[in-house]
Formats: sequence, structure tokens, C-alpha cells
Amino acid sequence: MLNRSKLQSFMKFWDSIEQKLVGFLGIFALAVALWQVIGRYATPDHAISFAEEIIVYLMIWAVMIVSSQLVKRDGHVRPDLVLRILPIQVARWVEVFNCLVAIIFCGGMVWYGSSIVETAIMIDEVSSSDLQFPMWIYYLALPVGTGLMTVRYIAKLIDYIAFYDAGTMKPGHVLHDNVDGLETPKLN
Amino acid sequence: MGYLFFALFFGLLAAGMPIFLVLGTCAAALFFASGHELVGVAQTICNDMNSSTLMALPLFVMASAFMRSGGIATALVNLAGVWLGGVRGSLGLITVVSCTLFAAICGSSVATALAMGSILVPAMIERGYPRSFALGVVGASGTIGIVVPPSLALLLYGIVTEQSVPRLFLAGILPGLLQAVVFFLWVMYYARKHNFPIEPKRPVAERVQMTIRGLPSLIVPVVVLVGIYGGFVTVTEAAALAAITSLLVSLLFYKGFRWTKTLDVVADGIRSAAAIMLIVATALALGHWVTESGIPEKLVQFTVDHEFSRWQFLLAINVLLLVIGCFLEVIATLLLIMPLLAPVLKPLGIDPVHFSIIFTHNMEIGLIHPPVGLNLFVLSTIVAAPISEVIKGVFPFLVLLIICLGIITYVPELTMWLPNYVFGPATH
Amino acid sequence: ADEPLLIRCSLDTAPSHGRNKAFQDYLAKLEAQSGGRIKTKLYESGQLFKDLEVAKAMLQNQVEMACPGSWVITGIVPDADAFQLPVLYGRTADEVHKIFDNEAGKLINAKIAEKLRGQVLGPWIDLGYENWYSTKTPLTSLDSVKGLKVRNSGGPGQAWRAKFVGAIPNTTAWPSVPLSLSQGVFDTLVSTNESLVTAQLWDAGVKYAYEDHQFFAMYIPMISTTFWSKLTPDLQKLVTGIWAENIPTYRAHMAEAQTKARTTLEAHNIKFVDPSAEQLAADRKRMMPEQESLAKELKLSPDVVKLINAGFPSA
Ligand code: NA
Ligand code: NA
Repeated sequence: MLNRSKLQSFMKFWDSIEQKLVGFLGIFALAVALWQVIGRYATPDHAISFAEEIIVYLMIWAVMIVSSQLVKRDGHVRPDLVLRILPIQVARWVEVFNCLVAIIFCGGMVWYGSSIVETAIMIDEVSSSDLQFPMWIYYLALPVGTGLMTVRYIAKLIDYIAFYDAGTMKPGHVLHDNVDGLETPKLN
Repeated sequence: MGYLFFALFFGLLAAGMPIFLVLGTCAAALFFASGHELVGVAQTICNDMNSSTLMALPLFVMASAFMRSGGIATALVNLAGVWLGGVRGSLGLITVVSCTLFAAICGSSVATALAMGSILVPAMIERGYPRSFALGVVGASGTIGIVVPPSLALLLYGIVTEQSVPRLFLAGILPGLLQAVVFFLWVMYYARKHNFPIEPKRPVAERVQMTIRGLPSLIVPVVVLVGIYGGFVTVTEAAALAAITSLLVSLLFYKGFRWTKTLDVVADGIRSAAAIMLIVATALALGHWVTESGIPEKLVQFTVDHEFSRWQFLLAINVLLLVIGCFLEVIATLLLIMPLLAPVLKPLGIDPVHFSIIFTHNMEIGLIHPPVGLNLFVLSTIVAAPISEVIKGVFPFLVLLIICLGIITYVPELTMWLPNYVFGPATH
Repeated sequence: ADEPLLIRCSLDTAPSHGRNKAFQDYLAKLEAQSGGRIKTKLYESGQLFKDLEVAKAMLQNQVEMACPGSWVITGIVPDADAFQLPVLYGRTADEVHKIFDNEAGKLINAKIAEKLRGQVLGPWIDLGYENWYSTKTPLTSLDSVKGLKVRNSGGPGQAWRAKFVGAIPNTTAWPSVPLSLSQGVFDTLVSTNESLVTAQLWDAGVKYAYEDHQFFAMYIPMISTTFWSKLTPDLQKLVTGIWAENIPTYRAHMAEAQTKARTTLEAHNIKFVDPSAEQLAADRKRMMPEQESLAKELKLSPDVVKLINAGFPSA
């Protein structure tokens, strides 16, 4: 028998690791951008030419990692109008179907993404700028990100099948740009 | 294959599947059906995401998240309030002005309605404004920001249709101002008619002091616009600077969050961006297949065969957008529709820059169009009001919006004059 | 009868571009002469793939034929960046052809076969001389480029040259150039007369040109090895034979297009400066001391460098 509370506390720990990692990648990307702009005007002789390239790699990694959080919070943008109208038990099984498709798609992306990574390593692919960045590191974001999403979708599927609670698991639009833990500011 | 495509597309949408999955699954299915290796879907996603222009998107979204949690949004409202005291219905006018300012950075009208609504709607109700009016003015004013630069919708439109982003940004200014002025005048008229309360006029010294305190909240739009149009930075760099300045202004000046929370705020911003980025990636992959499938040619052929005129075509688009506006945000819709539509514009003699503003404006109407629109849902959840009350409040603005749309559609100069004046006429 | 074998070919330039015209002609001839055993489909204007992505796409069997510029495959086949060696700065087309139509070219073809699993069709097809073009700053010598943001087509070799003259290098794929230019991503670009004409870059603000022939650009025509091995020997012969037969014509057309393009650019008020032969030689001499370290940085194989140097004994 699976120990759900232990699993949940592990997931909580895992969430916080994802969160901090993504925050760090984002800050780093902003710093690189600032460095590029200031560098271009302050020390044009030493200005870096590949800042935007690095920003792309950092941001894509951050986006791919954080996407699994969106699965967990039901934050992926979706038209849930029909789901709201359907009887709750029907909606449940539509959600099961959605999870299955998601697992197949994300699983496929893990598979093909890995093959892209493999190819890139095999042919020593580097970016065509003067940075000559090893492209497999960039490509790896895809299988890793979709892999994390696959895990979350599997967890969700199990929830819908084995631990369904009509009260808390109603489908509904979650605004994806809500920020946690911060109060609504007051007017003065 | 076209029918298979549309059946799959709308079937999955109806099942409430996340948009990125709908687009990705369609892309994969059709890639496979036309005899391509499936690895191409993954490779295309990697290739299309590897774009520095595209990175402006998560950076702008981050900037708007910082503004919301960092106290800049509140500062904007206060700044607008300082100078509108003493005018009847000033809170309504403040809403129009501060929504325009906030949306000028935020770029999403749903997010604007949420951020501004949670501050301003309770304030208006407290001061005795009718609840339906409070909801209506917030819901409608948020739609201004989508056309005023910088706009996420226009940025993405530029990426999908390969148009110059600075040109699109300029195109949005006059139509956005037109809408703001029309709303402003309407609120003044309505407030007088219904005898809305007057906010106290503050003494000049206090006004100056509060203005100074409010000024840093305007740094972000200034940095972005001066940066881009002064030719100092690229759009992507401008987006990064917007994020950096809003982070610094929040941390050091308005202190909306403590610096120890910085990593979390950044991560939350990226999470908001990720929801859009995944859709972008799969939309571009689908667009890639659509080009190859010949569907755009068939669509053009269809409109030519049925002798659709330009305005009939635009009307058909309008209806389509109203329907989609029931359940989707502007950006998701844009990514859903534009890959199909972009190749059709030129053959029909429609200027893509002019169309960008018509399209976003149409979308906004779809969002607040009764009986269902996403913005209506968002507003009703802010104060737990029934949808019908929101609709009642939004209705007059809806009429004004439709009038604005007519002007924008039939007076192309309003859209085209500024970009053509600054950049010279486009040649394609 | 068997199904005809389908060749999907992807180019990212417009149908009016010389390379596209060459492939339109070549693929039509191939289809006709194969007696229905080969069918071809040409995707143009990057509608299927940008050149930057096409070599990889061929490796993944997304297309059967491609003709990427040498500069877009340097990330996978570093030797393709040999065009940037200082010894080749400001050389004529004939001088460059002599190098790459022979041993040096064969060496690179072998690398392409190994890394990209692509069979090179035969002699490479010219794009033409690459020069500097700018929007705001008049260009009169290499010194005028100092401090400018210079777009190149790819490969660390071109970035090296930009840095050598004190400019800030930027790599942008051709289909994105007009847009990026109008967005201020760069203010100067390295390209050819004909490329500027096809994109009408005077509309994007290009006003000055410094025609120093900093390198001679060539596209490498290739067919996927997987597909190649499906062809019977007589079809294989047809594929390479038609190419070999027509390449002199294709090259002549490209050269013509470049000459005509210069006239068009001048008609659109783009000011050209042509450095003298002495100036080119002096600038080349200035670059030569860095050749050895550059070759290492670009990961060029010593054999290729040796073969190229051997073509210019006086340098
Ligand atoms: Na905006
Ligand atoms: Na609607």
C-alpha cells in the first residue's frame, strides 16, 4: 500500500525545489540581459554578442520545468465550458480521457525529445553563433519538461480514477497568472 | 484530411483539453497522417522556441507579475486618483486611466481586469457606486491595454505573421487612445446623470507629493517605449529591462514584497509565462504543418469561389472570434487562429498591420460579449456577483466598443498613420 | 509498377532566387529523365524549414534533399567554416572554386557524409561575394564597421571577423533579416548584393555597401544517404549526372544575378565603395597572423587548412 502522506510531503519538497530552481534561472536570465545592454554602451569592445542566446536557453529551461506545476494546479489554459455543463460523473471520465491523451503526448515528447538529444550528442551539434553552445543541453529541456509533466498527469489520472472527490475536483478555470501568498494591495 | 483536422481540433477543444495539448496532438496526428517522421514535431518545437524575439513574451509576462505583486499597480491607481479628485464619478475615470496605464505594460485584459478589479471594484462599491457599473467599467477598460503598446497580443501576432513588432505597437496607439477617450467621456456623462460621488480634492502640496511618489510606477512604460523607439534596445531587451525595472521598483520603492520572496515572485512570473509559451510552441508546430498541408490555399480558394468580399470575410472572422471569446483569452485564441489565417490575409488584400488591430479589438469584444465571455467570468468571481449583473454593467461599453470597431475597420488611417509616419510605408 | 520515389527538397530563399531557379530546373529535369521513377516536390521560402534547420531535418528523414549554405552547417561540420580563413579574404570566384571543387571540397564532402549522412550531389553552387552593408554609418574601409552591430549568416568564423574589426557580431537566419533589421537587432549585415535585392532591403533602410568580397559563399547540394541507398545505380547516376551537367550554367546564372543586383542596389541609392586590390591584400595581411589560432578555434581539421593554404603559396 502506497503511503500517501509520505508521498505528499515528498511532492511538497519537490515543488519547492522546482520553484527555487525556476526562480534562479529567471533571475540569471534577467542579469544576462542587463549585462548585455549595459555592456554594449559602457564597454563596447568587450560587449557580449550571445546574451540573447543564453537568455533563450535559460528561459526555455525555466519554462519547461515550471510547466509541470501548471499541470498540478490545472493552470494550463483550456476551454472548460463544456466540462462545467456536463454532469459531474461524465466530466470525471472526460477528464480521465484528457489525462490519457496528455500522457501519450507528453510521453511521446519525452521519447522523441530524447532522440533529438541523442542525435545532437552523436553529431556534436553546437549553435552556429560564436558561442558554439552544445545544443543537446538546450534540447534536453524538452524531454525533461515533458517528463515532469507526464509524472504529474499520471498522478492526476490516479486521482481521478481511484481518489475521486466530486467536491474538490470539479473542473474550473484557474487563472494562470495568479500570484500566490501575496495579499491584494489596498488603496490609500 | 481537412475534415479530419477540423473534427479532431474542435473535438479536443470541446473536451476541455489544455490548448497546448489540442494543438500538439493535432500537429502530431497530421504530421503522421501526411507521412512525416514524428520526431519532426519535437524538433520543430525545439527550433521554434529557439528564438530571441519570442523571449520578449515571458519577460513581459514576468514584468506584469512583478507589477501586480510589487505594489506598482496600486501606485498607478493612486497616481491617477491624485489629479481626478473633485470630478464627479472620479473613481470611474480613475479606472479608465489606470487600466490603460496598467495594461500598457501588462498586455492581457483578463489579467488587467483581475489586478485592477481586485483593487478598484471594492473601492467603488464602498463609495456607493452601483456594483454593476463598477464591474462594467473595469471589464471594459481592461480591453484598452491590449492595443496600447507594449501588448503581448501584438507581440505574438508579429511573431506568428512575421510583421515588425515596433510597427504593430505604433499601430495600436491611436485606436487605443480613441477607445480610452470614448470611455472617459461616457463615464463622465454617466456619472453626472446618476449623480455619482465626488472624491475630495486634495491640496496642491499633497498632490505634488503623491505624484512624485507615483512617478516610479511610470518608469516601466517609459523604459520600454524610449528603449524601442529610441533605437537603443531590441524588443527582447526592452522586455527584459521592463522586468528588471519593475522588479527593482517593487523591491526598493513600493516594497510590495520582501527581497527574500524574490525567487518565488520570479518563478510565479515564469509560471504565468509558461502557460502561454507551451501554446506558442505547439501553435507554431501546427502552423508549420498547416502551411505544408495546403489548407490555407484551400481556404483562399473557398473564399474566392464563394466571392466573399473583404467585409464578408471580416464579418465571418468576427463571428468566429465572438464564439471563441466565450471560453478563451485573446492570446490563446490568437495562437489558435492566426496560423490558419495569416497566409490568407495578403491574397484577400487585407493589410496585416491593420488587421492586427481589428483582430485584437474583435477579440476583446468576444471576451465581454454576453451571454458568455471569459472576462465576464473573471469579474463575477472578484466580488461573487452573478454574471447577469456584470453583463448589465458591461453592456453600454460593449456598444461603445462596437462603434470603435467600426471606426477602426473603416478608417484604416487611424491605425496606419502613425507606423507609416515613423517607419515609412511598408512595402511587401 | 513501383510507386515513384519522392524527393522533398527544402530551400529558405524565395522562388526568384538563383538557387531556387537552379533547383526548379534540376528537379524538373530529374523527374522527366527518370521516366516516372522519381517524383519531386520543392518547398521554397522556408515554408517547410529554414536552412538553419534543414540539415538536421534531412538527418531525421523529414526531407530527402537540401542545399544549405556552408555557414549553416558549421555547428555540425566545423570544416564548412573554412571559407572564413584569412587566406581566403577578398579572393575571386575562380580562386575559391579551384580550392573547393578539388581535394579540400572532397574532404568536406566526406565529413558531411559521415556527420549528416548526406551524399553531396557534386560541385557546390555559388551564392556569391559576401560584403558589408549598413543602414546609418557610411562604409569606406574595414575601420568604419567598428562598434556596429553586424549580422552574419552563421558560423563562428564570421563572428571572428566582426570581432577582428571591432564590431559586435550577431547571427540571424536569412528569413528573419528584414524583420530584425527593422527592430534594430543589428544595423549592419554581411550578405550579398543579390540577397539584398530579393529582400528589397533598401526599404529596411540599407544605404551603404563596402564590397570587399570578404568571403565567397557557396551552398552545398546534398541528398540523404538513406534515400540515396534506395536508388538503383542508374538512378544514382542520373541524380549526380544531371547536376554535373548543369552546374556551370547554374553558376553562371548566379554570377549574372549578382552583377545585375549591384546595378539595382545603386538605382535604389545604395552607395558602394570598392577597396583596391592593394587595400584587400593589406587587410588580408593584417588578418593572417590570427589564422592559426582561428583555425583551432573553429575546430578546422589541419588537412583542410593545409590544402587551402597550398592553393595560395605566396600568402
Ligand atoms: Na498593452
Ligand atoms: Na463571447
